[in-house]
Amino acid sequence: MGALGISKRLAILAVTSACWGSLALADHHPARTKELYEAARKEGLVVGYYGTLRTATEGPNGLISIFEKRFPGIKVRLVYGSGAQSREKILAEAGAGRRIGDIMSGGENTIMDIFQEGVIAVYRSPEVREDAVLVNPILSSPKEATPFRALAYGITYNTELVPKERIPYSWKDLLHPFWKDKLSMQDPGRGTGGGFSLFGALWEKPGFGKEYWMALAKQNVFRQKGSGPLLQLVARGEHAATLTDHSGNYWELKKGAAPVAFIKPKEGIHLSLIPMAVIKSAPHPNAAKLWVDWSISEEAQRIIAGAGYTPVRKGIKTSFPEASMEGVNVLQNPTATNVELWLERVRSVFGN
Amino acid sequence: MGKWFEASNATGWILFLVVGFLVLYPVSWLLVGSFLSGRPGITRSFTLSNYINVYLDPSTYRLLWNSIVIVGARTLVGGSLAIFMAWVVTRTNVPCRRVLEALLIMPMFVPNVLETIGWSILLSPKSGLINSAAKWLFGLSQGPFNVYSLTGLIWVMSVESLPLMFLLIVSAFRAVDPALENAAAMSGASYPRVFFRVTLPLLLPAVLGALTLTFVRGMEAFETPTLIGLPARVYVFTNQIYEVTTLKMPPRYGEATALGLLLFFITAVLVLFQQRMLRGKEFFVVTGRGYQQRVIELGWARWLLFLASAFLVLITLVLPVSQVIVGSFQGVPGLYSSRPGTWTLAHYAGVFQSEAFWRSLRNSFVLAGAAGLMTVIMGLLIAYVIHRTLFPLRKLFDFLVWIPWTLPGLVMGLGMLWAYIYLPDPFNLYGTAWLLIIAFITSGLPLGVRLLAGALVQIHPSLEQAGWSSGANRLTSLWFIILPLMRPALLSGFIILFSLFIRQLSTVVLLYSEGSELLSITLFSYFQNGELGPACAVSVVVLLIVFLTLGIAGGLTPSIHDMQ
Repeated sequence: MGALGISKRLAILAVTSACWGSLALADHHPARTKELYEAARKEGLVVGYYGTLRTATEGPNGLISIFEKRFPGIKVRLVYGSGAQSREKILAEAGAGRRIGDIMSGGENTIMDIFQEGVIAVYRSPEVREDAVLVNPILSSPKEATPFRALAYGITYNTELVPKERIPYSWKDLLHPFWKDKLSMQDPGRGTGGGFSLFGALWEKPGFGKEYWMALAKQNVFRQKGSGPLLQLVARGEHAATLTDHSGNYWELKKGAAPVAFIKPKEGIHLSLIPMAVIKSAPHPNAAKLWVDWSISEEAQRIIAGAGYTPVRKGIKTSFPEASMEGVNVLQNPTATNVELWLERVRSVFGN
Repeated sequence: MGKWFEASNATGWILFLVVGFLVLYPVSWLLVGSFLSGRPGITRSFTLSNYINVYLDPSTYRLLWNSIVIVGARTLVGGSLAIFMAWVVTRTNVPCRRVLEALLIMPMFVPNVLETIGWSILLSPKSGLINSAAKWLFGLSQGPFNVYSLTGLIWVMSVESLPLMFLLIVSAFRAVDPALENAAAMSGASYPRVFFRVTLPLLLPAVLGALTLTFVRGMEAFETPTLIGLPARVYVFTNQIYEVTTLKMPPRYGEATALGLLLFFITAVLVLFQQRMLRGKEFFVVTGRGYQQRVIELGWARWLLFLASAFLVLITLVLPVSQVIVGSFQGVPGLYSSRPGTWTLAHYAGVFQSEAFWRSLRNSFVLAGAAGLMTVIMGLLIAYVIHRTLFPLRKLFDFLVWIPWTLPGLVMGLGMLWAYIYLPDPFNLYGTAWLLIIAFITSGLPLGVRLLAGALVQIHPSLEQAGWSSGANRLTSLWFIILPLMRPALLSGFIILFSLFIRQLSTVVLLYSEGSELLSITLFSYFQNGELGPACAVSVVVLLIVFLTLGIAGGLTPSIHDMQ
């Protein structure tokens, strides 16, 4: 027996990394993860339809690279697009029986809508445990999918345009005449997205309801269609504040010397969950489940937090204090179950 | 019957059937989809509700009126400027004519998303550079311009329409035999009289053609109405379609297709009208007889014209492009501040570290190149069949080629998704790069055929007939006579199409898949997600590619004039 050949050495390296990869994920289910990895390796690929998250997924230290290192033999390909575009592709693929995508990530309402079309397989990662994730609203979220990050809807304001005495520590502070023509938000009339769920969350909050939104509408709030560059417009001083999430963009703006600050109003913030769903009859179901499980592992959640997004796992250090949601009062999203009713309520406030 | 299948028509029939399939197959799926209560392939219940909802809704007619006003204004503004500039560079002794001409055509290769990003920062009401300059210069309390308004939308769309219209009209100016103008001038007519009584009437068919094309393109334009019109709540057909299919949940595809088909009928009528106007007009220029372009000596006034032209170049090219280049190095594009972190290379670092970016760069290059080549070949053959043979359905063929431009790209893309995903193997191209190539070819044929037909009709048939009388057949004379004469036009056609495909967004946004991502989609999604910095960085990369391609092509062609 001479020295080991390169291929053998690579094989040993691969097996060693694989074992380490399994351990990296599975503190609680090592046997299951090992089995899942073996099956996933035979599939060799996982394809996901994703919305924005590029700063966390791409690059040498991004989710894709680290996952591929942890689990050699499995490639990750993410196709980025809006929720509606991903939805249409998945429905067309299902209708034609020509499936390419394994996973879809999008807003809760989009995932629930597509679930009702019958093309989503119910898969909730066992990693979603009471001792591991932020208790609410993660545990009470729809069981068909696995939330792996959150968008925290508070108030981002321009520190050069808002005097100290006008800093909005409460949602109701925005009703002061100072804020007339100075506010923006995502259009709640879309029937999806953070603007819509924030509308529902504050409507349901005692002491707020329709009256609050009617008063806010009188402030002539700029309602952006789509997520768009609302934070950028605040940073440039076009609007004094926006009712939106901080997400990764806020962190990028802070690094870019933007005069912005994020406030978690005292009544609470709205956490909009971004779940991942495994597609029914996915071509790579095991690789898909492995990716989902790993996405809420400590390692993946640290990467997500490092890119400025809000993690869903407990005890993960965030990039900046505003992104931490531990101990924060969370307003529940009531809009996922009856979209038409909530759209009617939006129209009753803002018109068509 | 036998005449219909003459050997010389065989190529015509093959091409006709191929183009018929490429164009009508997706359109037929759209038609079916517009009569379904859900999606084709899943829903089987037929309904008229999509049409009832759309056609009985008064807001549809407001939408139609809005579209006509906005696109009409764009066509008028862009058209007037294009005619004026074409006259300046072809008929006057304004300094640096060739450079001006090249710089006026150049923005055609700049992605619309990039121009829109540039203008959205430049004309931001409070922080835009132009508004800040106006406030500083005139002591105003607030900026006079707002990009997020009806006028803002018309402005950006007009500026974007200028290069293509200028390209089409300037070539028509060159095609007019100056002997007629000279005769009028020698009979004592003043310059304006010669222009309005001789030049313009001679140009009318070409100008009408350019205006129709611009109008149709404007009705179909997607990026600017979406990125500027939607925040301003100014609705036209395309951003309404985008809203009901992409922003609203659940998406209403049935209504989108019904709206798209209404737009199709309107633009189809326009195209037919234009074809009728052009019928019987001849444009032979390359006849073996040479002539000298007539140039008006303007004296000192030529410097005034030069300044006006340079200002136009500043507006159409320099301002939006430089804003995007500067923005790609700013922490927050458009935010000028003395704080540390204002200037950064982080956007480039982030983009260059993304594997998806490199994949989309490679894909865009390869697919746009392959599709450009195929479209040029098909475009030449189709133009030849339409203009140089007695193919019995050539008028219908001419119209067929136009159809992809009479439908909004988003709707056409939806039709293609439905159409190709249901084809049986091995014809099922969904998820492959081939589907994108087909989408590019389908969307590029209207321009490809038009560009090559424009060059072909300028070659007098007598040159080809001389070949036949010397014993050459159609193929030989095409190869040895037509092709050499058209070589510059073919190369420039390829460059124009390649640049169009690199920027193509609306048609392919639903068709790309794992492994076939494209640069234009990456760029748009950055902008959509509010990631302006990376969007600017990707824009600069796209610009570099396009201008590098133009530079290489410039080395291969004698001058930019060959593009006409």
